[in-house]
Amino acid sequence: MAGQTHHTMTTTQTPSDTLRVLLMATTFPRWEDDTMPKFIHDLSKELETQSVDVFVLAPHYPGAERKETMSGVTVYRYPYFFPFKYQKVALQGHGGIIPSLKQSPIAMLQLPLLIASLTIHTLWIYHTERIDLINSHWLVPNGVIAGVFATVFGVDHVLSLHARGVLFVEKLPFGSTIGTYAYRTSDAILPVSSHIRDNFIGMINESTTEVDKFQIQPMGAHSTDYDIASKPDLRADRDVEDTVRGLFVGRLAKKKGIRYLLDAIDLAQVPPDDFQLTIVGTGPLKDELQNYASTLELNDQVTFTGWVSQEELHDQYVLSDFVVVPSIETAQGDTEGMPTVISEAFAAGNPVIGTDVGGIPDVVDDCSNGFIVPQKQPSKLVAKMRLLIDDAELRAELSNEALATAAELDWSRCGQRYAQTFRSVCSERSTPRSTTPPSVQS
Amino acid sequence: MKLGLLINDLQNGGAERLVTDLALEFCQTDGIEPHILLAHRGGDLLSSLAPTEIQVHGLDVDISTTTIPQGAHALSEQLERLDIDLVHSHLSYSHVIGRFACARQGVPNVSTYHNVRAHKPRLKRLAERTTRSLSDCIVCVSEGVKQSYRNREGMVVIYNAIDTEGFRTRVESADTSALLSAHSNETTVFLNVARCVEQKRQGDLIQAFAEFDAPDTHLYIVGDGPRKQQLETLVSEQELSDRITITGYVDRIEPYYAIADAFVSSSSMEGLPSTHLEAKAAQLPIISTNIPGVTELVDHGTDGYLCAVEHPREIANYMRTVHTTDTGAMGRQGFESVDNEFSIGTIATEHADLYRRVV
Repeated sequence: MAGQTHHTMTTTQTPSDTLRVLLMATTFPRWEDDTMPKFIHDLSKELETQSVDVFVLAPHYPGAERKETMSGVTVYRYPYFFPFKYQKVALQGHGGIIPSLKQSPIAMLQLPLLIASLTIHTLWIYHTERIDLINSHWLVPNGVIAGVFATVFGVDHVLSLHARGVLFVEKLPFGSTIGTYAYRTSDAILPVSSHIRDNFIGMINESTTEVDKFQIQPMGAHSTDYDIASKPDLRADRDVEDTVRGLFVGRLAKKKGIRYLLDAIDLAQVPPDDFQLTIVGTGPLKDELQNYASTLELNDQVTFTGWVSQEELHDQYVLSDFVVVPSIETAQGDTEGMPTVISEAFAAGNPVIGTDVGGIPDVVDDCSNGFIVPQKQPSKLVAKMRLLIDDAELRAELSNEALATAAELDWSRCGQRYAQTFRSVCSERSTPRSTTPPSVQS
Repeated sequence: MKLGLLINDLQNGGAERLVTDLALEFCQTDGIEPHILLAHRGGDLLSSLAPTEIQVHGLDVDISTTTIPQGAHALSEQLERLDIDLVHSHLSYSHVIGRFACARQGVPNVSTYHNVRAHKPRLKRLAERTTRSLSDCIVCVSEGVKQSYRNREGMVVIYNAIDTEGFRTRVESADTSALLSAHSNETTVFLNVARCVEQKRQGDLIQAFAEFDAPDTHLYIVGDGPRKQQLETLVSEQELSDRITITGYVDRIEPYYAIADAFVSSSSMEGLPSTHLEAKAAQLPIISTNIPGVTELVDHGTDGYLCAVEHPREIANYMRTVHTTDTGAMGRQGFESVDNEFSIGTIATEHADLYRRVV
């Protein structure tokens, strides 16, 4: 986390410091232990520990509660169609609003209803819960609606940008208008990576962009989940004590650049006894990649595990010596935001060899907690891999740094920084936004 | 600098006149090339642009709530095609489509608010308010307009303007024969120019005139609108049909200013009334109401008189004053002040300075 200032939150907040924040989300767990991405929930829980009262507003899903408290976080779910079971826009667990729209024409029809319902619910919660600040996640529709509230009611607005939203909005006919509007109506913007920030700045037609307004803040990770001390035992169990192990985790899709990783291993010419690579995950390119590995005669060095359980994934991280993230930017401009795999790798003490795309360089610090290599260049990738394979001391050094970074990427730090941003935005507005209008009519 | 002046149409109105006058003025100014962007190609004022090189581009969209996306799209394409450097929009929906299109093309936007906040319908007000952050600067046509908004950040006041010399010349050379045949040269003529709508409260004028009740006086209400019939009924009830004329829509306004002895208004709400500017340019004393916008224009006792809104009796009193005293000096004072502060030359320079700051 180069360039970030580290604050410690030692002061205890008095109740009067409690901020009341409305957090607008589109992807949120439908119930406890849901399978769908839960990072907004994780963030909310951390914010609660920072004297921030969080009220989450997320789309309703058939079978989910309209209002509930999940681990101390108040959650409102707004319905937008009746009967509920026909709600298609936010088919949660399928990647959020945008893919749902692409899949279902009914969802397209429901979108205006969703926006209307979202607006009404925002208005209602804003008034009943006496909200101080709105934190909107994703540009559309949340960022724009929060922008309207910031304009009309003068409520503070912090916009969080996640990869998908920005890249999608960019392609809309009035994408730059939407972007400019959200930019001008927010007090602070938290992109998950510098790549997303640059994308966003490139999208809005602003002659002068206040860089101060942006603060890169990746979503957090759970670093306490890995028991690194068990590494030797685990290795002994699996009889892989003397082999250096590399790991890839992710969807087997084009933008992950796995083909270049296989090319790199082919170039490396390391005996299989000295180095093993495990590829965890499945995806559209599964067969193609497995065939390619066979063609390169790498079957004794590369293992495709397919989809694995959470426990097994956990073990794989602990077993590994380093993780490779060879992602690329596709011809369509699609690329990584800040892949979760990096924070998980760090948490398990794995240095990361990553490419210079998306949000990867924001967290992987070259020669410190891993290496950054240019994308699509197997020869550059292999050089760094060899460094790590050959030098145990270097591995240990980078591993320590990786653990230190993991602490920085941990949810608790992420929650602290979010809370700090909220507070600084609110204190800047210590003077009331609007003065009483003088009477015009006599 | 290529300037796009955006407005719905060029029918006769204060905002429309300002757009036309600014374009005509910039046409003779170095460094600014005015283009008029009309949502919908119509309006009487177009004829005054015809002899010039000013280009008028139509978006061919009748702007309303539902056609905003269409309008914004059409405008955005025009901005790109014409390579416009700055858009200056007038009236609510033009602001909204102007802002959307400008943000899309990365072109700065200046919006002029011609009316006080309360004057606008709720929906327009909301549309204007929510998109406000997309404007780089907001011009209010009077301090009164500015003060009617709660959030006055980034607002500046530039008054509406009039081509004073031109208007006076047109009034002096106007053909008044048709009007003068109706009454004698000795008649004291009061003139009101306004649309017949609620906010203008012309009923008060009729009442005031009834109360004033002096022989050899005449009141012209020049304008059309939904309230016209109601006003006509009121006139006949008061048995004043021979002394009050409600003209409806007229082609040329100048003859009325030419025969008038004083300008009267009973309006309850104004931005910066251009009729008052015209009256002053025509050297008429003004009897008007004590409301924001008007108070910035009329100096009580110097170039006119101000009354409280909804007080016909006060208006009647001042009508009597005007009828019985020589108000020639007041008219001249009025001309001088409008020529100093509200002439199109002055106002155009202020706009040009603002444009340069924004671009």
